Amino acid sequence: MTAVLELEHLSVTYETPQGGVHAVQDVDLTIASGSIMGLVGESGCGKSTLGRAILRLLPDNADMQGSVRFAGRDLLSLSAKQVRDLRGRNLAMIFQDPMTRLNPLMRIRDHFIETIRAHDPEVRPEDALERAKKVLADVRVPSDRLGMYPHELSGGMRQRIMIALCLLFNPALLIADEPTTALDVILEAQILQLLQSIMDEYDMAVLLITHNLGLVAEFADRVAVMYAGRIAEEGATVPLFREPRHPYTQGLLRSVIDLETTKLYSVPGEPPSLLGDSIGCPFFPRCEKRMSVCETVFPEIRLVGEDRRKVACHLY
Amino acid sequence: MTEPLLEVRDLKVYFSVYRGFVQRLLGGGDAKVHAVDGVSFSIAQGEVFGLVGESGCGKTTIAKTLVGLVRASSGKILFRGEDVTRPDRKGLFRVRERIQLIYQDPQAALSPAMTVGEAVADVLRAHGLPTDKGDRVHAESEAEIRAAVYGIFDDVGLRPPAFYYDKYPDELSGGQKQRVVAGRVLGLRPQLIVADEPVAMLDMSVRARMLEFLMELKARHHLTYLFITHDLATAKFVCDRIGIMYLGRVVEADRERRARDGGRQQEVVRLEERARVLPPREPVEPRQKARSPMPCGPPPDVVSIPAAPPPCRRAAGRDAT
Repeated sequence: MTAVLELEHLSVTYETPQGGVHAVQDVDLTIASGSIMGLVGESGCGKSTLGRAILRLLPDNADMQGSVRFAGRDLLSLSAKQVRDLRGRNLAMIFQDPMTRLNPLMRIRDHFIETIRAHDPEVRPEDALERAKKVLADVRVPSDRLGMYPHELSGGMRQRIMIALCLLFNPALLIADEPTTALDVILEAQILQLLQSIMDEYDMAVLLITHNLGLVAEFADRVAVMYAGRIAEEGATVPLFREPRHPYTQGLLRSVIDLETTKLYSVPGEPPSLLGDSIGCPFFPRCEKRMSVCETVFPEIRLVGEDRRKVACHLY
Repeated sequence: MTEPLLEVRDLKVYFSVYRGFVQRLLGGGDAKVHAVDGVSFSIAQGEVFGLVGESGCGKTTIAKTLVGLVRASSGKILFRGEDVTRPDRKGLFRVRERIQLIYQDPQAALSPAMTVGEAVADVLRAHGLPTDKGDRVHAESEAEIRAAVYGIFDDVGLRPPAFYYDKYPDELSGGQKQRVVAGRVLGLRPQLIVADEPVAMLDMSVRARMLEFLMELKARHHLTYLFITHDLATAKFVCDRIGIMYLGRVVEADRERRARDGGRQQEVVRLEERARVLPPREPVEPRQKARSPMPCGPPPDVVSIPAAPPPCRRAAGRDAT
């Protein structure tokens, strides 16, 4: 298994007037090339911060520690210029809201030309357009859309164009941050199936960041569950969904509404504040299975079971 | 039989699409988007009626037409028997005291320049405070308005109300903002609330709580809901009856009834597929999973609606390749 991305002891702290906010704490994560890693959690759990940290797209008050190894190089040790070269080329990202990511004053073809020439200034516009047509075909967008403005296109089409822009340089890893939250369920399925089909052709891995557990269950190879800036559980998708081990994962799965739901459930309480230092397990106040050790001792990740699930919990 | 609270009869909402000069010369006239193409349904007092469909099917247009944000092209909307299809300015004001809308995106529904307390107070100043007799009176003082807002915040679970009054929308979570929107709506004591994807933008873990909250409000205030969503699972859970929409028409209403030819409408099958995702029930190999057959292409063009549904692999049956 070749790893396309390896995060080791990654931490991100936002410096604020009230003190440090620990958005991401001591995260270890490995993504195998050509696979889909799902990263799930509630709003504020740190998953988006993690995605942006990898690409070094965080604001100035963010302090990053640890290492982010991509294709053998530690991204955190690179200069800003080196990161800019990698970003959009070998490492790409698509965001939640395709409506606001495209320039409303530029035609689609100009988006492609600009992106290509940002990395290869020598390329002629005609050649850039040829490359654009190829990736558009891969995302099944007719090339007549090149002459249009973003507002003339539907949400689903705009998101496909965003993906096409990412594919231009054949990235090894695509980070998708809530790519389908703004789209309806049918479009959602289409976009994910599209990603699956191009992953094989482009030998690309995907980090799928979302709060939608159903999406991850259906499309991801492995799943990492985040809570309060930390990884609570991580493992292969099917065993994790069939037998979730961390009480938080269990609670999350219980709260999903599907056609068989007869009673609504939500995890009681609220996620903790990430301001300042904390002791013990962050899930302690809300955990149905808590023990006294959980209040004072932080549970390190341990490997559990045949499928070698990573779980940060004293129960194991 | 008691009169339904809301009755919609053969509602049509068409939008003109501007076409270039030459095209108009050649084609003659504007094309029209058949956003809503002859929809009829009724909602009984105290019911939760669901409208389910993918984006572009017309459900949001219906919502906007009911509250007067969009004008119906033809058809009738009757509220307790009264024709409210094309109200004048005064009539519109009164319609909105009876039918209110909760949007999908609570951030977009609240002005970022106003505190949430002011957002609700503003409505009370414009429409007056509700009285026990069912009518409205204008407040005597600002203190009275503020007290009324505190009462509303308490009702929607934003406690202590004084703490929330001075907050701006971006200081609140998605769930809290949605509660403010609900409170603002309730200040008018509406009888019918149209909820357009009220939980779509909330985390899965928060949805259950918001849905319970909406049902509690309904019970406490004797409300009726038109619940609009693309998520069949949520609709099935909260709604008493559901209408499925596709391309501006209701293709299946009262889910107990099946289409007369015995087959299930494709659209319904598609929506059901998507609602059944979690958790995976059989062991499957990564990415060789038996994927749900791909829904056929992007949503069809609502301007040139095909006479018949486009040919689709699924029409041939699940086993066809």
